Amino acid sequence: MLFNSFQFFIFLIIVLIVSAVLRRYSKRAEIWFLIVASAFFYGQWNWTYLLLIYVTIVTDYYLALKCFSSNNPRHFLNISLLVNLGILGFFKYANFLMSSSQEVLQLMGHSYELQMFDVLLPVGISFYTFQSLSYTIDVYRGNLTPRQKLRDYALFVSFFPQLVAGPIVRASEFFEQLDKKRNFSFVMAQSGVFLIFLGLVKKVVFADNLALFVDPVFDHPQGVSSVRTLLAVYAFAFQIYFDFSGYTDIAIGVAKLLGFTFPKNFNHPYISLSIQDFWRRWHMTLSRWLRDYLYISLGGNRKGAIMTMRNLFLTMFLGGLWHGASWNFALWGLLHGIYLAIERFIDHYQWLKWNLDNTIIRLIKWFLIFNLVCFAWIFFRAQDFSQSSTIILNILQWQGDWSIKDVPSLIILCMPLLHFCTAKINLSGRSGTMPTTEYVFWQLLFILGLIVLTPEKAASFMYFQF
Amino acid sequence: MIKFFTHIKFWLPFVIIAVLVLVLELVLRKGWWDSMIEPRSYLGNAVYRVQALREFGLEKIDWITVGDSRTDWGIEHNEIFEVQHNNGITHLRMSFESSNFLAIQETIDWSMAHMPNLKGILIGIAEENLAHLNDVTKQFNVAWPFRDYMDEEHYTYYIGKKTRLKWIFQNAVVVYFKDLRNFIKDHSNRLKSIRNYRKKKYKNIFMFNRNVPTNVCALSLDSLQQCTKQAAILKEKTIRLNGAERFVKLVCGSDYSKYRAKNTIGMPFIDPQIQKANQKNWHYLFEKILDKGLELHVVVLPEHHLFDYAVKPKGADSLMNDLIKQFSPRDHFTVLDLRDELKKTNKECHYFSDPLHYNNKGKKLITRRIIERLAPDRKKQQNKSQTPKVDKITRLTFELEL
Repeated sequence: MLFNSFQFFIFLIIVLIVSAVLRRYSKRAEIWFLIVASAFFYGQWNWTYLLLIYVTIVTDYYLALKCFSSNNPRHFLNISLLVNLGILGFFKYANFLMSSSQEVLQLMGHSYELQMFDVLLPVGISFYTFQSLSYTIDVYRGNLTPRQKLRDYALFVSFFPQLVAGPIVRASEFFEQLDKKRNFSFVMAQSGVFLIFLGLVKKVVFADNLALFVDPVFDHPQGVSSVRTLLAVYAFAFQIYFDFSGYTDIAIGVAKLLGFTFPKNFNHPYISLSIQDFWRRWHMTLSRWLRDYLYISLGGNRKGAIMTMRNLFLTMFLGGLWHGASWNFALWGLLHGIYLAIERFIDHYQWLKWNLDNTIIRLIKWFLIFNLVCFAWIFFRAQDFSQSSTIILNILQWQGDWSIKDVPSLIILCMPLLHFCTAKINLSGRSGTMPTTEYVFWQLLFILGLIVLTPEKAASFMYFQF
Repeated sequence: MIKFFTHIKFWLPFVIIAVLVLVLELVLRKGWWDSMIEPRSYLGNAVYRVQALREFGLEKIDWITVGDSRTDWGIEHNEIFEVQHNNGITHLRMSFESSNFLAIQETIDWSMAHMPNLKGILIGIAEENLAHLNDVTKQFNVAWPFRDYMDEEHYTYYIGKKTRLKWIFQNAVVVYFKDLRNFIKDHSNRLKSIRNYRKKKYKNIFMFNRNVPTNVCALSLDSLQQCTKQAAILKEKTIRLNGAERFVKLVCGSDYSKYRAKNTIGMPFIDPQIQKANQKNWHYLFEKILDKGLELHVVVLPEHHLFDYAVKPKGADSLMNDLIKQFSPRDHFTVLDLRDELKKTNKECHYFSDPLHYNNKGKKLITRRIIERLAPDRKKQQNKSQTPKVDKITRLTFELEL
């Protein structure tokens, strides 16, 4: 069930009404209802794989309790890691590892055909596995008391707004809201509705229309002019941003209508003046997860410059692989690791830093960072290395038609400016407190945009595949 | 939270949108957008045709040709026009691609009401027209200017789910939606297209002639088994398929066709409900035309034999035979049965551009047969006049443009 489908709209209305009615009488009934609704939401994609979520839920629930009460908590954490990463590894990486091994064997002169597993990748497995893992790790670290009630934990992992594509919510953030009286204010409702519409516009109007420009170039890059290829790369950078941040906005909006506040996941990443800043603004909940549960666990920056760089590489490499079982994603992650390491290096040697702080220097910095990020996106979007190298060669050869006359190209060129403007306006931040005239103006614009500019074919969210 | 949903902030945008939609509905119904419609769309096709007819003079029209795309693309309307003109008859094209019974009936009723000197109607139908009641939602675009002639009291247009939602598709906002949206997305191309169309509109509108040189001989379509195999091959193709290939892929590539091919199951009989509705519909329509004192000329069009094994349910032929038999004794009713016309050539594939539509060769043959029926002494007349054909067409076109 896609957030941008009519089916979801009906589902949401029913969920809002029923949970509001149940809430009046029994909080427990409301929680059970939300668990069932979430199961229905996920089951629309695949009922069998719903079992997988419940295996994760039940396992981590009991292991966290054991971990808390045991003298040897490490033992239970290891089991949790083994189960979670085992499931994730099997469904997401088994075929990838086997095909990679096969290629290595072939390179070594052995022609051995490995039988691949015929399995479907469960939607959102990376998201809910990370969310569930954070819970057991937090309990192990003593940062969290485990939940006594299975239903609370089941809702935390399977709560439908964030189930398939995040944001990756921390257990402490979620349970704190579940325990207190939740906030069902006017401001929450206003903000929730606004974010749902904003998210839909980002996804349907911007991302899906940008895909019409991006897909033909990436699907058949041979012979495409340099300018068009470059524009397609820029367009993809915005397509994936609008797609994913659109999804997150809808998720946060829906959660607000149910009385939950989710953490922000995007903060205008393309205005960043450094790669570190980019990762503070892009998929913030994943960056936070990687930092807290991987980078710091590896030692962070406490063990010298070399180890810091190794940790950065490793974190970003695994972060890349988290997105998908392909060397393209790994390379994308590694590239960001290299960028971050270079930045660290520059930071370490103060004399390398550009201490001048004026508009031109900031613009140059922005241009450099934006293009570095876009360069990495090539590997993220391309199907394989040959496709990404064709794209890069297309740009470097600087050939073909140079003119930019068509409207889509001009719009793509204006995207960074639009991004700066929306960062200034901060629509999502002010969504709950906007005055009536402004609120009505934006909503009207959003609805008209959705009516007029929705492409004929609705596309699923890109991050569903992760 | 409830407070917000009852607050002006929440519902005002929706109220404004509703008002805008209402205003737009009125504006569109008034026809204020009609000069900006994409001429090559279903809607544009109908709207521009009516505009051209009105400019030409509805009172000058004696005969019309109606039918779906088989008739619209499959007859050389300029030839018909020329021959009839020699007999002192102004015979114009009123067929529309993608029309089914609803659009055909609305067009006929509108024409009978608006063309005071209308003397005859030529209807091109195939057996398949009598065997199905297809989705009618598109019909509101195809025959939008004739919508007032929808007559649910005497005709059955829908059977099935879409009936419940028909009121949505009858709104101008829905009918014009795609057109308006495409204009907003790409207005420069639209303006160019309208300019180009206006330059040659009468030739396009009345002398429509679609150039289709291709045939379907390269496709293996002898039986359902062959056709499903062909569809499977086409499914694997990565390059863009042509119209004929897309048709084969759609029809023979369906699960139902594959199932029938595998189990050698023939086509089912026509749904009795549809059979009853179609019998009633066509009977009432023919009756109405003849009661008006008009001549009715029915051309039963040939179909590719793929229709027999993959599209048309059993019993469609007898339904057609019954209809013809019923009206044959009537005055002013004539039938030109071309059902076996292409089959008897043994080279059926040479006459179709896809299994539904005729190509240039097929079109020529069908037009020749119609002309032989309309004006048997055509040759004599041509000899008498001694006017070169090209000059005559130019002159007629010029007359029309005046």
